[in-house]
Order: sequence, then C-alpha cells, then structure tokens
Amino acid sequence: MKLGNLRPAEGSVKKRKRIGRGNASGWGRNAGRGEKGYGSRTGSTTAGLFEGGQMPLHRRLPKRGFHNNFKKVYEIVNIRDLDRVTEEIINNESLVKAGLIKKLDSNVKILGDGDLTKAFVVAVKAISASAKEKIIAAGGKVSE
Amino acid sequence: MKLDILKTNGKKAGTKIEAQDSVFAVTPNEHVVYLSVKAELAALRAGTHKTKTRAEVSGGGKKPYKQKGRGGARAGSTRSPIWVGGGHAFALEPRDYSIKLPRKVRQLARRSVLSDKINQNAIIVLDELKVGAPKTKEFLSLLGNLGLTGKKLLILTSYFNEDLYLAGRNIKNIAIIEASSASAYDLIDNEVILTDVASIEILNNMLSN
Repeated sequence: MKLGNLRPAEGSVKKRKRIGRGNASGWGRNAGRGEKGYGSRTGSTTAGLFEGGQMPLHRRLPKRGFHNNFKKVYEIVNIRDLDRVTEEIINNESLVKAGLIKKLDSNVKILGDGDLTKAFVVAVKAISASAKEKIIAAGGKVSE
Repeated sequence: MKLDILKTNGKKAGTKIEAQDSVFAVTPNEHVVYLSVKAELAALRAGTHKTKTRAEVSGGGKKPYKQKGRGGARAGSTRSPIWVGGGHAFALEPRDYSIKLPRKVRQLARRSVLSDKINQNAIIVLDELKVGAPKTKEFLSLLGNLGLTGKKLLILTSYFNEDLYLAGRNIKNIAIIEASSASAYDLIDNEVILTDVASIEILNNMLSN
C-alpha cells in the first residue's frame, strides 16, 4: 500500500452516464426523456381530457339537465341511532362527537326510522313529524 | 505486539514497547485509506474560482439587432455564451470541495496505514526523539546513526519540540508532525515513520477501542 497506487475498492465507483452523446451510446435521440421537443421539457403538460385531437367525450355529447345553486342538502340521522349520543342534548356538536354526522356546520334532519329509549332535548335544523312524535313519547323535548 | 526500542545512536536499547494489536495489527483496508486520503486532499482545495454567466457579464440588455430581415442568426443579447465577449455557459462558482467521512472510518484508515507500515518494517521507535541543539547537523547525524539518510521520513513526536523542528526543517523530504494530529495521508506519505515511545503510547490511547 503506497500513496501512489491507492485505489478505491472494485465496484465502488460507478462510471458516469453521459446522456445525449450520440445514438451508439444508448442515451442519444431522446436522451432518456421519452420524447423530443415540448414533451421533453420540465413542466410540460397536456389538458386532462385531451384525446389526441379527437373531439373529446365531454364535448361530443349534448348538454343535459341543470344545476340548482339553491338546493338545500341535509345530513340524515334516524332516531334509532340517537341512543349512541351520550349527552342530554342533541345538536350538531353532540352528533359529530357520536360520529353520526361529519361536519359541525351541516344542516341536519332527524327522521323517524326505528325507536329510541332515552329522553333527549333535540335542537337541530329540521325534524320529521314521526320523529318528533317518538321523541316526545320517550319523554324528550324538541326545541325549534 | 512488541516493538524493539532503539537508542539515538542506532543500537538496540534492549527493552520493548507494547503496540496495541487493535491499532498496529489490523487487516489493512485499502479502500478506507483511499477515502481518507481523498477527503484530506479534497479539503485542501480552496475552491476560490469564479467566472461570470451571461447574467453577470455587464451589458447585453438591449437586443443587438432586429429579429428578422438581416440574414443573420437570431440574437437577443451580446452576452450570449456563443458570442465573443459573452458569458460562460457553465460558469464556475466558488464552492467547498470537502468530503465528510465518519469518525470511525477515519480511525480505521489510520490503523490500516500503521498496520501496513508494521508489515513493511517501516516504523522505527526510539527511546526518546531529541537533538542536542537546534542544528541541522545534529539532525543529520541522528539520521546517519539510524541509517535513514536521504529517505522520505515522517517524524512523529509526542509534543511540539522546537529544537527538533528547527533542526529538521531544512532537510528535504522530512515531515515533523505531532502523533495526536497525524492523518492517514501524513502516515502513508513516507518511506519510514520515525517515532518514540511516548508517541506510540499516544497512538495506542487515541486509536484503540
């Protein structure tokens, strides 16, 4: 072992891959980028629904129907599930805590499928007539 | 492993010094020595080089001539890399070339070189490294006694000995280095390592595990 003939161990040094230095190198032509021109640049994109210039599906088919911006959407809770709530009061906080609705700011409507045993004070956005009956029959209250 | 101790007149002192096997008798790892030497030489590079890109060369803000109709190539700046007086295409930036090696790798490198030197019988241990006076003549007579005149030497000392340094600094191919700061590069870049008992003890303590 001399200073002049120190060598790295066999296989520890990789030869550098020289890209774009002629076709015989194996990395000529597209230089490993898949295509030439715009597609080989960074940040190149195509529109998501582009079909190669063919009229895309979403333009080939006619328009149909309409979208109601004023539609009210409710999250539904049936009273058979209400026994899972641990608090006395049924409102958005206690329903989220029990996992019966997803969001605190949802519109909630209680429906009357099934039965309930506990007495609750119910304070939500909407409630069906049959649900109201069953809640009061179980000794609960409905606050508007 | 026991090493013979010589006196400054070149005769055997009759006593021996214990050199730890974990320092002086390991299987040399050439790759690790290579890495360590490479790292040291790389760290010596100043990296103070700089050239200007087309953005840094002064001038060139205005389009040199209009886009079409002149028969020449399109040109947007007089400082384009393909123009005379233009910037460098891949300009040099000042940078740090140093390579970080794990402490254990650097230690193994030093152990490897020391063990290799032992195998070549290239470590000479004196009872004490000293010269009578800070004179080059004194140093040369010491080398003559030991039969080392003209060889490329590393003198490993246990402390900074000013007399020894002054006596040896005008002799060709001699490096005087403290044992506690010798690198793998220092240790391999010589024909013979001349050292003393105290320095061997320092290496024992510093490099054994």
